[in-house]
Amino acid sequence: MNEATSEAVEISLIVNGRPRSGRCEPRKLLVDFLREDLVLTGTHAGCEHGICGACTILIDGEAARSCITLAVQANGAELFTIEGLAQDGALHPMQQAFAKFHGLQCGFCTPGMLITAIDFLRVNPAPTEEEVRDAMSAVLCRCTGYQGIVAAVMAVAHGSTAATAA
Amino acid sequence: MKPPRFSYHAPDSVGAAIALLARYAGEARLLSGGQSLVPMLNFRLLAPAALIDLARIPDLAYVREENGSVAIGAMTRQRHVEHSEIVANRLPLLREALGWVGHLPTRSRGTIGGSLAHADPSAELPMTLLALDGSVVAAGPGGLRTIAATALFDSMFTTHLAPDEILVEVRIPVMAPHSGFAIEEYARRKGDFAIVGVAALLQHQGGRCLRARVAACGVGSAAVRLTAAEQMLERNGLGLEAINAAAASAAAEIDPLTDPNASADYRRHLTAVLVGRALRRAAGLSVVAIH
Repeated sequence: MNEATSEAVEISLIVNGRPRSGRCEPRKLLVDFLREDLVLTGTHAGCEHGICGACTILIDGEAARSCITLAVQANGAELFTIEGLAQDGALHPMQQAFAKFHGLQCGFCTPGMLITAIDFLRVNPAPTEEEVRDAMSAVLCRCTGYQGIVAAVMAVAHGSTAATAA
Repeated sequence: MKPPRFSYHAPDSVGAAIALLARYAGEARLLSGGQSLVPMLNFRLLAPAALIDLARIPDLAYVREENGSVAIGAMTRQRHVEHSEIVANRLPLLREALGWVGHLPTRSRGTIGGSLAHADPSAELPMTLLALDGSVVAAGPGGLRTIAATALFDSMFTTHLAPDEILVEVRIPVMAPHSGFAIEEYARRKGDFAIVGVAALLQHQGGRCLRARVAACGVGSAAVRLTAAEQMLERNGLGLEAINAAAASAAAEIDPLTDPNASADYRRHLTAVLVGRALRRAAGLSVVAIH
């Protein structure tokens, strides 16, 4: 792809284990490509400048903000979004913990919270509460739900290694 | 909140990228991790004719130890630098600094070279490169040249890289054994840009200071070394009084700006407080043994 173009480019990637493709302008943000072109609307576009973290997904296994990544940058990558968390109808342990500990109210930030928490526990499987608070500050919740969110992440860290499987 | 139109290039060599820079004559922007550039495009603070994506060029992401230095490819993701064993063992100050750079999800994408070339005056990496006496290697039409950190940062978002040069490697001398070091920073939320950040690196022996490096970010139009404070420490040692004097001197030698985040007076006050904290920690509590 050495040729200049502001015309549509072909994007091929793996999303939640399935090969997906589409065409979009190079200026298209990855979050918009997911939502509009692939109709995966579970990833939320919040601030659109990389501050709120609602759009966080896994790119090649690492949490990243899809609103400050161009779709064309993710060409060929393996993505994981909120839609891929539940397996065979069973919620991911992190989702179960968020439900149990009231880690969400309106739910807008929740996709980014879950993905960020899962990636964080992969990097730091036995965190202190302070480390959890530090890591989860990457995502903003405006329902003031942090107590429940921190409790949920701590519960998964203490109780289960399955949460790191994604 | 969407980027304006641009042409997109993904060259497969540094030479091809340099040729593209020349062809666009200042109208193109290099894209590395995009963690600063894409937000600026979203806000339409920038409207480049073209983006030149460096991510498809092979061999620009690595961490190697060679001849008493650590060489880090410009496209190495900040997260990978943070978790590099070489960096943990040889450049623990850099590792500590990376913990302050954005959040884990932005470090997944952001690169070390991208942050240095972006030269945000509030960013931690330029300050850290200064404290570590690092340098960068720039590739241009005439070949490679090395630029010391002290000659790299010009002013806000501006370096002394030429318009047709690309930062390709970061080189940092291995920290001396038994160096004391510390990063101190204040931001409204950890991971946000620093209101003021300080990096300190001390080589000391029984209260004597053999070599001091103190650098700061958020205190002016570019990251700076606080050389008056450094000289005071090297002259007067690392007693509490000398540290307090160096901290006061640091606040006097900066030229901070007032912006919506903080006033110049507040930044000056913070600088004295944070330099004092960083030096106390580097002088006493954080002696590292490097084997």
